[in-house]
Amino acid sequence: MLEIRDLNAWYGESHVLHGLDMDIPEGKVVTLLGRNGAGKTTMMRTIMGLMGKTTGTLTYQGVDLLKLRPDQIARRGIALCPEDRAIFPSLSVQENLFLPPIIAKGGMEIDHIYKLFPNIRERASSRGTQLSGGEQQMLAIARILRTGARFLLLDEPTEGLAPVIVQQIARTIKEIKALGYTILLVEQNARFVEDLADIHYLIENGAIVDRMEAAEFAANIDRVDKLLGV
Amino acid sequence: MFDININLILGQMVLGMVNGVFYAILSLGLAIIFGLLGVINFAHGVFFMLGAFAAYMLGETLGIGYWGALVLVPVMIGGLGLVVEVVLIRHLYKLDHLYGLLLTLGLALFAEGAIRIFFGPQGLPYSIPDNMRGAVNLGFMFLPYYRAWVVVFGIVLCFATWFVIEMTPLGAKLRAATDNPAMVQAFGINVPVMLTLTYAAGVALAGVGGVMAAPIMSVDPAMGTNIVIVVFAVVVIGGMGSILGSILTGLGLGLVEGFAKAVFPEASSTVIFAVMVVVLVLRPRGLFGKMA
Ligand SMILES: Nc1ncnc2c1ncn2[C@@H]1O[C@H](COP(=O)(O)OP(=O)(O)OP(=O)(O)O)[C@@H](O)[C@H]1O
Ligand SMILES: [Mg+2]
Repeated sequence: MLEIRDLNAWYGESHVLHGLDMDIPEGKVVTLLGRNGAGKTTMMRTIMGLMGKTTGTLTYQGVDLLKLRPDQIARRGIALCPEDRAIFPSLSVQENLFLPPIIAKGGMEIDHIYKLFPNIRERASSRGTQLSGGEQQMLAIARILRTGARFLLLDEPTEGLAPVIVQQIARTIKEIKALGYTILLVEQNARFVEDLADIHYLIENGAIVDRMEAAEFAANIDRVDKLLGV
Repeated sequence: MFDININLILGQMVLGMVNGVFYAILSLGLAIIFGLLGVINFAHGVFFMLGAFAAYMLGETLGIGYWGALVLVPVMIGGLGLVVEVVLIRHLYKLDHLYGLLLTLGLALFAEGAIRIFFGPQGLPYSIPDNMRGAVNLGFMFLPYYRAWVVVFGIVLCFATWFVIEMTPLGAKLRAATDNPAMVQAFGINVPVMLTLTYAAGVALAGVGGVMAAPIMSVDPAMGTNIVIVVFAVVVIGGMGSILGSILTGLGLGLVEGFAKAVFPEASSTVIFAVMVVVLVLRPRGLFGKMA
């Protein structure tokens, strides 16, 4: 569904993605694994149209996303949960949750979201930034489940969360995958993605260095650990 | 030197509210525009002045009176603001705030000069609407109905704007885009259009102010510049970035000015600047300003 070919991206003069190729099939959970600074977040930002200078092609449902503005990309059903969470400080928790417009039918019902993340309901009228780090992460994920976007970009969604919450998020990902969502998941934690993902990509210095199916992952876990430097 | 007469003080403070309402309307628009666009809109006073001239012209050419102007002029001035944003201002967003200030200052000088060429420098007459003639006896003063209307309508307008920004989903979008425009756009909201409409709405507010001012201030090319200089002091005192802050500061300084007019008339035109100096020394981010 998303076909990435010879993708290059720059921050100003600094060349960060170097001819990256990737395929993200519809309805699959695909991970992007790599060390700090490998270019994972940059990859997500590029898909979302947030990078200044880019070359290559990003074909999504027959359209080259590199030619679109971020809002046009979002309207095609792609949503980002960014690494820094981007909770808006001037908005209440509830306003943060309802900010992204509904772009298609089939998003998650608000009651369902509150059931998944009860903390968010309890803190609905607080300022977004008065939430704990973990709660902010839950809010950032919850925020994009409502919109009806079918392709979710999750940039390290479990970073800094307590194990129970990590489990909770793993269950949520499984659940939305069963609903047919497509997910690109950036993670440092290989164990977390192990039984979630269908396809794993390994990224190093802004290029894909390996690709493996879920079935091959366990056998190659040493190689993955080495690449991740753990 | 100090002549304490309580009726005079109360009377001047009520009249000060009239000015305060204009300060509030204008600084509110400036705050909204600066918050979202990062542009210090020096042309704000000119849109106020153009609002008054538009009301005058509607009356002269089409026979449309005050009430019609109150509805039509904001649409006209908003439309003009829309064009100005699309043609000029949007090209500056990536640059330092200083460029926006310089551009809008240039625009202001140009527009003021053009109006002076067409209409001359002297004030034009604009009469109080017929159904607003007369005055109400407040016991300590006779308050002309029209000035009472300006105060009430101005306050309603300010708080309606505040309500929209702080309490509605539309306002949440505006606030979010002020925090992090890239992310708002990545959620599917067309931020460039939002910036255009915000600029248009901000200057339309100034245009409404101009119509309200036409019957009580002199409709002349310098009226915008004259008031906007005070309004920038109001903004410095209130602090950039707070909607409620700019409303309260505008109204409050109108009262302060009125009070000064009663007890020490010689200082009335400078008291706001004196307050500004004190605030800058004691609290540089302004009374309601957020930390930078
Ligand atoms: N705003 C920026 N300006 C310049 N260079 C940047 C910027 N953001 C990231 N980089 C550089 O781009 C490279 C890739 O960064 P990126 O954020 O994509 O890494 P990452 O794989 O997401 O790392 P992490 O696991 O730490 O989140 C790094 O070398 C980083 O230093
Ligand atoms: Mg990252």
